[in-house]
Amino acid sequence: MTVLSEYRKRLDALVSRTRLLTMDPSGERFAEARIIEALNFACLEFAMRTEAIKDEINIQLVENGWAYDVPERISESGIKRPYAWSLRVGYEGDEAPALKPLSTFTLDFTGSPIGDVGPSLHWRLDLMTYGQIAIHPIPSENGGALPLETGNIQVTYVAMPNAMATPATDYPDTEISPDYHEYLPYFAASWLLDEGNEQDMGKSVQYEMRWLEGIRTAVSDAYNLTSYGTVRPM
Amino acid sequence: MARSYYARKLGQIVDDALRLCRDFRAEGGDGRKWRWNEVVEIVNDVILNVSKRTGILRDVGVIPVVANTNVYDLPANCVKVLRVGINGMEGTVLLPTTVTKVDLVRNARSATGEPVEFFREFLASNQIGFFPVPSITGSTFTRDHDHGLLRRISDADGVLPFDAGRPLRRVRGVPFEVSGQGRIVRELWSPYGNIEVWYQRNPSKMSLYSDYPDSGLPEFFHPYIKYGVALQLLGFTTLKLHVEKTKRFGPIWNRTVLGLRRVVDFTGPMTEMRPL
Repeated sequence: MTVLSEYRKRLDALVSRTRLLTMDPSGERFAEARIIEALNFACLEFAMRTEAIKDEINIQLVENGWAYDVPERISESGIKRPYAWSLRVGYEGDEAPALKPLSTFTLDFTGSPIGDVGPSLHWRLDLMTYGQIAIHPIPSENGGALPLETGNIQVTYVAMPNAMATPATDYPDTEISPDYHEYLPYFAASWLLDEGNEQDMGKSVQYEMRWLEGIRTAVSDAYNLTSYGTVRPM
Repeated sequence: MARSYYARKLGQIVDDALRLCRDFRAEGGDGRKWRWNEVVEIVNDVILNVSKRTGILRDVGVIPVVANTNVYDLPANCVKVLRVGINGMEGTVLLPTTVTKVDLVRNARSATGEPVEFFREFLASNQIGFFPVPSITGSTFTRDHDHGLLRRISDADGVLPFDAGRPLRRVRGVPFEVSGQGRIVRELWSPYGNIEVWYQRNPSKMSLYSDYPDSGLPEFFHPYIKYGVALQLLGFTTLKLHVEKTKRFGPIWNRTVLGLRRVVDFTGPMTEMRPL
């Protein structure tokens, strides 16, 4: 039986395909490093537009600490994928209900001071710097020392993909399903050909259409995975 | 600060933009048509424009209140006021009002008390006024308090060096701990009696090849900045190819900026999110 992973495309194969699409099979026009960079940007755009890559990080709450910088914590861990934006904030793992999203406006509107102290119930992003999460009410005591989840929050975030570097060994991020690998060179070729003349621009537009087809398929597939309905209008 | 693979330096952005305009000659160098310094200025302008269109750069500052003074300067990097409060996190929000409204209800503008409203009308663009006029001066800074904005850190006895590799968090007002010899003294603006302003800020400006865009701008957005810069550069010419490129890059750039705007507007899991 053929398994899906056999359709994975290694970086050297993706580079070759991109060279064909850019009408530069011998690599005289675009250096290999630039093609690899464009392919990594393809993986990035795919991940951002489909939310294909998600990760979770456990953040220790501290007494009177009302704002937490998620990307800094991720970079400290050294093994998590880079942060893009937060999706969900859990509390004490699966042992307690997750925090609900809230806005500062709602707190102001109801007359609740944003400095209320007590068990944390809400998270909010408005007014915050990118990457920061504010907690309300503000915790009155420290959470357990990591990796304990007791008294701490678990942030699920959309992540940027791990980048490829070595053509002979690297593959696109494992969270990008192999059935979408064929689309990556179209983005890379379009990205590079935008630097060219009228003919290149024409090809770039054509390849972008193919790329968008891949994105639409991926979003549709992801939707089908998470819904019991049968109606798919597009 | 740790950077991801996708972060772009100023020099890389300039090179990328010149490549899009077919004016790239050498990394970090002038093009035939556009000089390095001209492109750098446009990169900074584009990032300022993006930050204003999306509102992604935010900050908070404390305005120390002086008795019987009702007009104050906003923080120097303030682009737009988002929220105004008094007495810190435990305090209350100040609502916006106008001088016209105060006049219409025939309130004297000289009334004093604890401010409950703020206004911008009839003031310079970098000023903010409060109503009623503050009757007492706010608290001055305090030391080792758990709330407020970090004002200064000093080494109490000179034993503990600041280059000891201790992580200082960007998080505002979160206490941190230092072990070993020495003692770090934290000075914090006391929020009590003072005004707290939440605002959109301008981005930090770049000038060197190795500079990165403002840390408040997500790194997944960095690779796309070249399109915004190229659009500006190509607007200065009438060559047919450049016009064609403008038609192509415009929609890409707008789509990307609107995507970033969606990240800014994201408030929870039910919000639709497609950032690029």
